Amino acid sequence: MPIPIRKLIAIGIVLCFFLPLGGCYDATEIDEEVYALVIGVDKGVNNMVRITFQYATYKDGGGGKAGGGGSDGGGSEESGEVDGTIVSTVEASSLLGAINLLDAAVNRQISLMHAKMLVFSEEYAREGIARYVEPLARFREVREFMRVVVCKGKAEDFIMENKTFIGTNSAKNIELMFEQSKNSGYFPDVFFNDFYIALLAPYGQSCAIYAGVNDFQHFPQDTGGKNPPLNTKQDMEPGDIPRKGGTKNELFGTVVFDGDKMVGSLTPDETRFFLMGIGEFRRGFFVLEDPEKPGFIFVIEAELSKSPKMKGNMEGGRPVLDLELTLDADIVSIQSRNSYENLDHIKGLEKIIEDYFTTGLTKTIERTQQEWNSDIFHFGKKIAGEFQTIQEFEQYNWLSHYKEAKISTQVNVNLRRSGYIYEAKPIRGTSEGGQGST
Amino acid sequence: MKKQQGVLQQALALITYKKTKRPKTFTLAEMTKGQDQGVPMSSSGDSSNKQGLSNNQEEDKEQQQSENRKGNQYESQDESQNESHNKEQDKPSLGTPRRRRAKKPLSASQVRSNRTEGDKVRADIVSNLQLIKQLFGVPQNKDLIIREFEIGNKKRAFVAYLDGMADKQIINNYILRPLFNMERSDPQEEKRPGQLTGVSLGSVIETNDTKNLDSIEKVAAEILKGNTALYVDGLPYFITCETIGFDKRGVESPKTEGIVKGPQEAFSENLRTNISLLRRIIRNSSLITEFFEVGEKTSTTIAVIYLKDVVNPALVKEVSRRLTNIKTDFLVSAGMLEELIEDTPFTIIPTILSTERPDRAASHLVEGRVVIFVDGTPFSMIVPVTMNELMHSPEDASLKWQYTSGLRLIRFFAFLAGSMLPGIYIALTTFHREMIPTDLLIAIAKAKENVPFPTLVEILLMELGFELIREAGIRIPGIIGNTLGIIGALILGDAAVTANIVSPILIIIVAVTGLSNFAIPNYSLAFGVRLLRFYYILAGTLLGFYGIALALIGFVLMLVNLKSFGIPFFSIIAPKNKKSKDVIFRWPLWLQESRPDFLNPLDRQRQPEIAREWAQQDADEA
Repeated sequence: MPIPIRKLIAIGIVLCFFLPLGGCYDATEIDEEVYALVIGVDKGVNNMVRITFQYATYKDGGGGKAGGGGSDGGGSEESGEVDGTIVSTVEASSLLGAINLLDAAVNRQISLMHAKMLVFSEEYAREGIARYVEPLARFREVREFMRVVVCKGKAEDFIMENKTFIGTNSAKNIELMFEQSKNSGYFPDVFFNDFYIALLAPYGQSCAIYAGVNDFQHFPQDTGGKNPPLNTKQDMEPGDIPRKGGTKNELFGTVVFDGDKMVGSLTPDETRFFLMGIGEFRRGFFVLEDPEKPGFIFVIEAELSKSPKMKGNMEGGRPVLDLELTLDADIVSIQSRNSYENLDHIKGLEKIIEDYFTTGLTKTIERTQQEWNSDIFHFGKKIAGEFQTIQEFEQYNWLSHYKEAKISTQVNVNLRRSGYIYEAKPIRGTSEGGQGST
Repeated sequence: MKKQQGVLQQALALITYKKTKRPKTFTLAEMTKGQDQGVPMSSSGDSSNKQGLSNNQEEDKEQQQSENRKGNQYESQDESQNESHNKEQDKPSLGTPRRRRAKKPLSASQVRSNRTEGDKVRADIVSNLQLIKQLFGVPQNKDLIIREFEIGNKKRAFVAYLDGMADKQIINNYILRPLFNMERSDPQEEKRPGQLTGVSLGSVIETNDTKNLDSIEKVAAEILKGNTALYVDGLPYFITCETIGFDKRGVESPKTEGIVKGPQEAFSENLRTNISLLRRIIRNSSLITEFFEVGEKTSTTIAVIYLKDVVNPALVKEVSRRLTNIKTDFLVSAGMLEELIEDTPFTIIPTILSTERPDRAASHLVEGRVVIFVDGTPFSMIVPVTMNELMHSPEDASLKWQYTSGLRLIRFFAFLAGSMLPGIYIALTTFHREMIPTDLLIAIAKAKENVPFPTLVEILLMELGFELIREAGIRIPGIIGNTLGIIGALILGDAAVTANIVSPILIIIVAVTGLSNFAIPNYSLAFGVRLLRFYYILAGTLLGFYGIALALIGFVLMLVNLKSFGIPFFSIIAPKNKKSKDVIFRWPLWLQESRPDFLNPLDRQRQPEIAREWAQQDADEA
């Protein structure tokens, strides 16, 4: 009995001496690091890149106190203080080199563990981003759920405008910003992981979120008198939305990549069709012009009821693809108060909506084919099945043959609910006809 | 085992307390009812039920001395209450084993019994009086009362008893008074003074139990129990009368195992009361009580109780083997005995279930376990047990099965949280910060901004404070003690946060850990978990989740290597046994058809497949 106890004690002593050496070496306290929430990449002037980090500060008041809300305390431009966070930009040869350069000034190590957004400037993206994506994919701290954004103008300016207006929590603000993709479908929600895989994939190309800074200059002064035209299309670029108030940042549209270079962008409307095509469209309101009363609109809320069916095969060396979507739609508004929801008319309305979606989807696909030849829909996944080996498929080089593909689309729409109103009666008044206006 | 073992094996052996050389350990063999003749069953058998429990004490002591059970012989002794007959049989049965064991060092009881042979009762009062006085050191010892008197034809006699241990009412009314009356009302006795015998005295004394003992040592043992010894000049033996009557606590409600539904009585310090509490629940003639005495100086009575037709006889044999082979001088509580008889004394997880509830002890008896009482302890010990029993609460059986199952999940969560939560917190905050949601991470960092200590020091400070409150709460008297727990924790926690000594989230961690600890139903296990906490804190601090995983593996290795009286501690899970309907998920009572498989009981079936026969009957026809 004495021998094992002695052994135990000996092992205990050894553990006491050696385990701490091997272990705590890696340990870092939470407050010894700052956590970059946003990483921005701009083209440099004297060196390759300008890296911008936005990281949260640990000052009190961010949590509970009302705080400065909109415009922060004095000198915010110079110190880079933005609503409980600090924005620092540094010019360096590489992204990770920038972290170490900033160690000279930031008194805590910048950690990328909680980076939520990676912003490239459009200028930079058009030149190719491969060189600066690689370390992000390899480095242990970077996480796959970081979103990839390409912004018009400089990434630094975009990040400087990344303010929190509703709450005080910057991290939450950023996360919820991307969640809006589910409500409108005007921009995709692209994770870094998916972005990087698509960069390498032989069956498709990458896309990213398109963003911009709105300087509120697109909000024209009231000229008065004139009847404004009806415009149901959303074909603006980010930063051009006529609005004012609130944050200046806008996520609007999709950036299309060919390889590691940005080649163009989808408009917000096209983005919706793109999201439907890849089955990631959650829901959104669609404003369509009334077929019987021009100048009047009706609004539906649509969602995918099934994931899209994609079929593909090779017919005589030419890829032929079929894309079938099934949508559920609810009627939200009929300005003309016509009873389209009546079972006698509903088929007609469904037809109109189906045509709208089919045209939109077809045009979007055509645009990616003809304008950019970039398969962001990843149709190649279906075509890959036509080849016996991956090598054959790679040899075929689907990405270059994408524009030759014959892609037919079909959209089935089921109108499900008509809202609280069924067969609306006209609004009565003394004036003749008394047509409703909203 | 050979010397050349793999390093891994040696390391495993160290972790799991397995010695390279060790005596064969006890494993519980499977038994059927037919087989139990082969294994020497414990003695006192049926007779103890017929005659009340006290009668067997003497026999049990003798068994203890002989250490070699000869079942049939003793059973026959019990049936015949004749003490002289008993004496005749004693000698041959005692002689052989003692001689055979002479090489080994003698146990306390053996030393005592060796001495006894020279201490035979003489047939004259003077020397006997001298013997008793000498034994108890009478001029100095003021507790022993010796009342000398004369009965019959001026025959000298005396009674001896311990003041405070014996009931004086009984001595006065039922021993002394009849003896004095005999003098007056029995003229025949005066004519034939030499004829005064134990038999006639026995019919005079009105107490319910008398014994004729010819050994001074045994007489002393009886006196020590609170009985009264009577000696009449000329007799070759003492007559002891049962007069036990000391102050004792009544049956009260449980202190540590309080429940809402179910019986509200608990064991007390008195052995007799405790056994009667059990007998009141299990009214079965095969409920056997055996007595042992442990402790050279204290001679503490230990009762072993089991259901003869259910329990595996090998288990009873093993329990009595361990009890008879304890050499110690002082034993007053079940906790001390636990340390002396448990399989692996180095583990921090208890392998003996301790309960103060008769209903709980009874339920385990019926399952085929053995209950051990130590006189003077209001707790019974139940052996063997597995991890699952430690996680069960006595209330489980009283509640509906759905509620119980939910509560048990909570308890297993409490076990994990109570042991691992602080360790996981340290691992998370120092090694795996990417696993904390960003908002929470920044909140923690904000709170920690002004705290000067690393997380480990924060945790240790708070745990220390918490342990202090717990320990002080027990010591601080009365009402203050109860309130101190709450007030102390509140003030300490709040003040520590305000003073920037710890971060607020840590208060939550420590509080949840503390709460979890209290949710563990077994008091000993909760203590084990309290210690385990620091083990995981160390592991988490050193190596993060990797360390916690290593620590967990080590702990589980230790657990699965534990045994409780031959039963693997993780039975049902490892080794895999027949499934039980009452482990984590408690199925309805009518589905629990068999006794625990790992106990290898003689009777495996608890109830037929259809327990609710009425449900199959036609209500109108019946």
